[in-house]
Amino acid sequence: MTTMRTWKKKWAVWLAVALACLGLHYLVMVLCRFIMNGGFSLQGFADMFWQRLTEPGDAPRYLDLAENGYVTEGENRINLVFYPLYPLLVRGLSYLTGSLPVAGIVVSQVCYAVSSVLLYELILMDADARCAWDGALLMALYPFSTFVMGVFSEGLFLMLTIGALYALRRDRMPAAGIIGFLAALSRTQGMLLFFPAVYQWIRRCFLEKDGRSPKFTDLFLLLIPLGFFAYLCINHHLYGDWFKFLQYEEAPPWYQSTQWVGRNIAQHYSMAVEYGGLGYVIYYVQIALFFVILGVLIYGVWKKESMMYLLYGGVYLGFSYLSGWMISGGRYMLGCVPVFIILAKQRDGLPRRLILAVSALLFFAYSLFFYKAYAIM
Amino acid sequence: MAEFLGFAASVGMLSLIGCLIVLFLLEAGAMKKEAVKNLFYSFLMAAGVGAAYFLTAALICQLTRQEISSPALISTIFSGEKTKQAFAALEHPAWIGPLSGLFAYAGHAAGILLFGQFETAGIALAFLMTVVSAALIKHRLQALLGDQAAKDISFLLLCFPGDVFFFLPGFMPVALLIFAVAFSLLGRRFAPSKAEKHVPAYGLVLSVSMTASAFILSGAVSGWIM
Repeated sequence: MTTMRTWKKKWAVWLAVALACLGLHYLVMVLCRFIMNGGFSLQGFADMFWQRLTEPGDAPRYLDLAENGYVTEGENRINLVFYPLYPLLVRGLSYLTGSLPVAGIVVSQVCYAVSSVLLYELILMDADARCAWDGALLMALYPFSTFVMGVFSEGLFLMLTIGALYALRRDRMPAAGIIGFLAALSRTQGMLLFFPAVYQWIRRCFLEKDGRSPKFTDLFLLLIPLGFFAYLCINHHLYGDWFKFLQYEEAPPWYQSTQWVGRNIAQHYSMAVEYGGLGYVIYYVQIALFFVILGVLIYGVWKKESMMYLLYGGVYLGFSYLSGWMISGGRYMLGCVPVFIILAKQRDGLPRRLILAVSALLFFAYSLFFYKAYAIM
Repeated sequence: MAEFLGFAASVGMLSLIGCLIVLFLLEAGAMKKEAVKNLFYSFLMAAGVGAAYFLTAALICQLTRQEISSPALISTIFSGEKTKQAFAALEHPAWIGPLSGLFAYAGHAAGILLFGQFETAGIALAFLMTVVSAALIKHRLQALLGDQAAKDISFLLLCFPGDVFFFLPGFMPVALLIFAVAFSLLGRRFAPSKAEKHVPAYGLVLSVSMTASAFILSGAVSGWIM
């Protein structure tokens, strides 16, 4: 009876977290529609919902991948740069929904809701329920979290990343390996989970006083880099070139390259000065985000936060900012989950409340820019 | 501004990487807490003194040469022949001297790790060598003379005339590291002091030393030294 009651309570909390986080996004959508239209109509809301969640940025490319898969001819051959898991899931669900865009939205939003719950539970392992709630809210209020609502891979990636970290914390290496494999099949940054995985394994087996000896099942962690290898196999199968995706990334429309972090930050500033209007939605934002996240991670070092989170956060930040000509830094940094964990665990006081308040303001502002079709991608 | 932000980002990223490495070594028991404290103190000390040298040099460069061109900011400020040679050797390493050559190859390897940012790698490597050296010297002095004297002397050691070259590519960071290791090992032979020692007239000594340092600094910027 007690177990049943405990589970009922847990499910109630999980539902509350998921609905609250999703609800914040829908609330902002309604408010933005109100501002844009000087009023609210259901049709207008539906039009905005559909147009902004299925048509901007990479969304059409994911939908094309879900419909046609990887192709080697025509303009859509460059869709090779996108990883296969999200389009696969969209394609699979579309057999039920009858529509690829609807499936895309459902996959994203369900995954995001699950990721909020997972983050709540992850923070609850080290802190109280209030901190866990704040962590989920901080992720919901991240200024560029709007992408979790549409046809983008953000929601799926968040769910898998947090799921893998949770499994590592629970010392469930096979689960961590499998989830990490899937994360590596959803975004390039997914393979970075191998770093905290190896660290956690070393810690459990060799550094902890009440640790354990290595087990055969720990080898499941090797699935994480294998996820990236699976993506390389797709490149090789289609083109006979393991790294064909790099060629497409370097070409239009992305022009991506790999450059040292400092050089990229300097370039962002130059671009901000050159393209004044875009500075406040792309370039200055990316510069600010870099230093804010760096500051949070260093604050985490000072506060003796778990090395696993610090390591993943540092690797994620460094890897993401090695990308030259980056224009989606705001969106990418949503995946730097340790930031939400570190900030949520702050002592309850003015700084924590200010952070939540400022996040909410910026979340609204950048969501409004997104729904007004500014260059947020 | 772009270069400043890029430099700050590089410093931040490399500092975070350093912190994570040290934290892991501490957790693994490969480093003691005292050693980490010394390292952290030396890092702050070297960062403060290094920043002071750089800003003063930039100011002198701006006033005397009217312009600091980019992108090679630091190598533009310090225009002495030997310093220029050391910077050039980072990208195309050559055995330009026993210690300078060692630094050139190490700096080149570091530059490859930083995706071709050889100047940043050279500065970072020189800084890292200086920090480690200062930590080793402070640790040995602490055992010999006490905490206060160790802090005073290790700080003073970074403020002697010419110490700006500990922060630049070349033979000096390597020489300092060799000296620090030798001092750390040989210093064990001496008995520790029972009483806390102090450097007499420390403030005056530091002031004179740093003023002479500024003179050498201006020579390094103008190019008639190194």
